[in-house]
Amino acid sequence: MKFTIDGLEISAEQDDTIMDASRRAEVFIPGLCYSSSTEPTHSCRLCMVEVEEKNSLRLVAACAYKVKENLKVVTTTERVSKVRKTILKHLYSMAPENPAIMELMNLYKIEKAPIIKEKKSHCILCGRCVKACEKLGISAISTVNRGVTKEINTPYGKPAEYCMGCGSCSEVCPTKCITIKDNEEGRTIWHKHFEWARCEKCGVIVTTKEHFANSNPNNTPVVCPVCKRRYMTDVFADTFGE
Amino acid sequence: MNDKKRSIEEILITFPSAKRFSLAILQEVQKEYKYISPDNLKAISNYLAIPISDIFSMATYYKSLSLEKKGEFIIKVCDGTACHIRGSLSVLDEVKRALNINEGETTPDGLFSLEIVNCVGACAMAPVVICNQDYFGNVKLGKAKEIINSCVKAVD
Ligand code: SF4
Ligand code: SF4
Ligand code: FES
Ligand code: FES
Repeated sequence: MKFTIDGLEISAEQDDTIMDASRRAEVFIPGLCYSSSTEPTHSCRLCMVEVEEKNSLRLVAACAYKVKENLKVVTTTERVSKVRKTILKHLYSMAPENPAIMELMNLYKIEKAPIIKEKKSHCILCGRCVKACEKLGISAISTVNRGVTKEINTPYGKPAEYCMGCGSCSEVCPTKCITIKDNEEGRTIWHKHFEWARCEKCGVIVTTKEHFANSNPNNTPVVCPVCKRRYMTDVFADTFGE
Repeated sequence: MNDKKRSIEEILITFPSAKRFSLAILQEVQKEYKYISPDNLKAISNYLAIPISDIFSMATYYKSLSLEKKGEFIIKVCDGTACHIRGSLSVLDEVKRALNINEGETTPDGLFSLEIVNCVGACAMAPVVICNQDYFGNVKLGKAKEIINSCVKAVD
């Protein structure tokens, strides 16, 4: 399937959204809650573009709108830049001076509005972390409260029983606002402390013990990828007597 | 009012085990126990086979649900525009004094909770005070105690 973004022809697969296809083709449309690997949340609204429908233009979210054959997408209209500006200013007020937001503000030459209130977290409530954890089958975190006190947290703000300290939530977070503390002993994330699973051969950190146990069959020895390869080579050498 | 409360199992069993009943179950539990306790939250999550975090998210989202125990009687003082103009804040003060608690609090005997609400759609009879299902309109100063007593009597 072919369609165009600002006149540039792009190919798309069945069920692709405009965002899926554009990211694959490396045509940039901003979007902070989008990730090709987790379920979309359509929450940041930064990806608004216009599509041509029945000879008129309509504002749609690129991460939600499914591509059709010969679809015309435009991202350079007055309306798009206006919406984008409003949304970025709003995101800026949620996460002042956050690098991910500043990068976009600079890219679109948007002036900063004065910061009204210092924020204790740069969370923009995009929901990516929740989706990432859900995809792992854990669902340790969710949105808590409503309105101005809404945040992402574990139930009761206590260590969550099933959280395995994998850090996937923090990895997908666009504003990198999930506190994750790693040191020699282990990792602390979401009010919970985890010990490292270290490679039995060389001692490097593989991941947390809980994460390792959850992603491997029982009693799998902890071996890092490098040592595993080395070990396999030894096995081959033994077997073939080289 | 003192009849025995239904157990969480008794409540759960009246609902099919499907996600779409989560809010209805939460409301029922809230009604029975006046709050959602951690144990009950867990029981609901087990029964519906959905993560605790999802249930917790709902329990903290809806204003009608609470994680802390609410009183048997929930007194709501309307402070919408119409009620405000007609003196709702003085009414509120009176209720506070009568119960000796602030808004958002519950009396130590677990009988009353006090809340402020914004317009309950009965502006014509402002100022309005609600006690559980009962509406009291045109509340005059000095009437707060009477209203509170009448609620308790109605149930006794
Ligand atoms: S670190 Fe915990 S909360 Fe974050 S994705 Fe992993 S299991 Fe979920
Ligand atoms: S913590 Fe990060 S990923 Fe999660 S909702 Fe907030 S901004 Fe999004
Ligand atoms: S990327 Fe489309 S709404 Fe966030
Ligand atoms: S303002 Fe109180 S009922 Fe409308």
